[in-house]
Amino acid sequence: MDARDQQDFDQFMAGRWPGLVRLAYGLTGDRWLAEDLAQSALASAYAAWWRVSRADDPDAYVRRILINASKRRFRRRRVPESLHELAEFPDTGTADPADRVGDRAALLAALRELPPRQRAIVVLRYWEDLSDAQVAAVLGCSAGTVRSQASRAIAKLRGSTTLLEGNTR
Amino acid sequence: MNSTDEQVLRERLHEVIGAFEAGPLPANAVRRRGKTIRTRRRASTVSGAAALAAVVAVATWAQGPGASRRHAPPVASGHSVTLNEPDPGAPGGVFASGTADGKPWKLAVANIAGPAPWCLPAVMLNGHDGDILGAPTPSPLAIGNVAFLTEMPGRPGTGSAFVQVGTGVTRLVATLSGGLRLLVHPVTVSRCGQRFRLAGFAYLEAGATKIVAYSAGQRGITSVFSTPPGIFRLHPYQPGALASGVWDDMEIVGGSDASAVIVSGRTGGTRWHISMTLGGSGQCYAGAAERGNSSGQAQECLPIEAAPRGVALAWVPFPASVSTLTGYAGLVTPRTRYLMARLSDGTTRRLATIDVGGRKYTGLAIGRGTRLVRLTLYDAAGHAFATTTSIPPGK
Repeated sequence: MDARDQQDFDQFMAGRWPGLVRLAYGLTGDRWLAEDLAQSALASAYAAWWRVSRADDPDAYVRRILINASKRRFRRRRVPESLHELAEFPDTGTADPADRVGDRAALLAALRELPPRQRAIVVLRYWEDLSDAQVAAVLGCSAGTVRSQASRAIAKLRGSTTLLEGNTR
Repeated sequence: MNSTDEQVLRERLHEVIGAFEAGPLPANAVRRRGKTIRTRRRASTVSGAAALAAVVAVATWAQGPGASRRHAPPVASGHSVTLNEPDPGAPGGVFASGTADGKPWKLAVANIAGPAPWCLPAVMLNGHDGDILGAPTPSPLAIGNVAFLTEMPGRPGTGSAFVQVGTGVTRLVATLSGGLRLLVHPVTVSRCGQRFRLAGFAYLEAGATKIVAYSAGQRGITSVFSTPPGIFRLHPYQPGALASGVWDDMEIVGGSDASAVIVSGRTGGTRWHISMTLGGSGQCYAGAAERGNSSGQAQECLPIEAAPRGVALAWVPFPASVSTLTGYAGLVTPRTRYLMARLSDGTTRRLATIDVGGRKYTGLAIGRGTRLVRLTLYDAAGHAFATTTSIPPGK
């Protein structure tokens, strides 16, 4: 990697870090894992920067690396994931009343009940605000699949108190 | 689904995820980790005319698709490798075998997870040095992942490669450094309820520059893999950058990382955790620490191994600028329920295990001046069934 590529990558990395960590947080609900996934995705991008930088959409490329890593992690991990860190280590810099911590944890827990692909679709569609076509490109499926899976995910989430509470607030 | 639901969900996600603040960008750690991945791809250990000449003697060279296969004897000087005819019915998931400098080598698909229902398929070289397999290649005529092991452990000067292909691919021609071509036939291996079509070969010097796939019933090429430029270019060896026995997977997007925090805690004023990543960089343990406004992470990668009979313990680094902790983590036999760690200050600690992909891991971090002396493994009935005093030294 020459100096120019290094500079380009550094700019890319600095610009994408917060977004990638938040995306990973939406997928995992875990601060440490979110940062590790984001770091892993950026490291892979660094290693293949010649390929990533020439991609039509480098952001989609890196999101795809991150989501693939996340999906595989969930597929292989059996131990129930703990949400204790939310209460133990509340996010810094944000006025977050204590009574909302459990509420947030409940939403993340509801998300984690979804299958990995549905969870990824929900986070990409409603947090990243990507179009169905963009989500499809990231996940390597059709836009129709995105729509149908999103619909199923919403139906599942509708049954959770989290969404209802949000609806009545 | 109605628009109200969607709007509410959007707002709730923005509340929850938007309120989450990422920690500081670990720019150096990202670059280091990226360089480790890249360096492994570029690393090459054998060069020179002798090795290149020896490559001519490698078995089963092809002039093109359909060329006759033959075995060449090892050359008298330098290194030599051979490739056996593939045996679709070979036991133990073996899909490629041969010799390297007269010593046998074999590539096989094995389950490296614990007992059923867990199953995690990986390609193992001689029963060690695994590379986790991704999903079977979806397109029948395509080349999926291509992986290189720069140097076969115990067989210096020789490397190994395997290729995952679609079900319709019947033969491959690998163009090695120097332009020589090798004809390889893929074999279908079933593991973990999946069918993988794999081909493997050994090589001298610096791997393959191109791999071309052909299908039955047509002479045409169905898929071409070109090794990205620079991957096998010789470069100065960087100590610590190359983990011997770790495969270089060429397919990044299909990477097979599984990550988990295996232990965390707070020692003094330092928050720390040890995480494990199983995937393209091998079996990596990372120690992360946060103290005041300082934070950092250090990582140690090792080859992927099957579950041990006892414990395969590794030293885990922590960033020296943040912490003086010493970390240990390891893979334990699936029978393990918990462990007791005896420290040099006379205290003992009970260590939990965590399942990641059906593999059980444990870990601990200890403060400066204290050493880990002994680990004892207990089963679900509380019986100690193994103990070790062989503790890896720190660096």
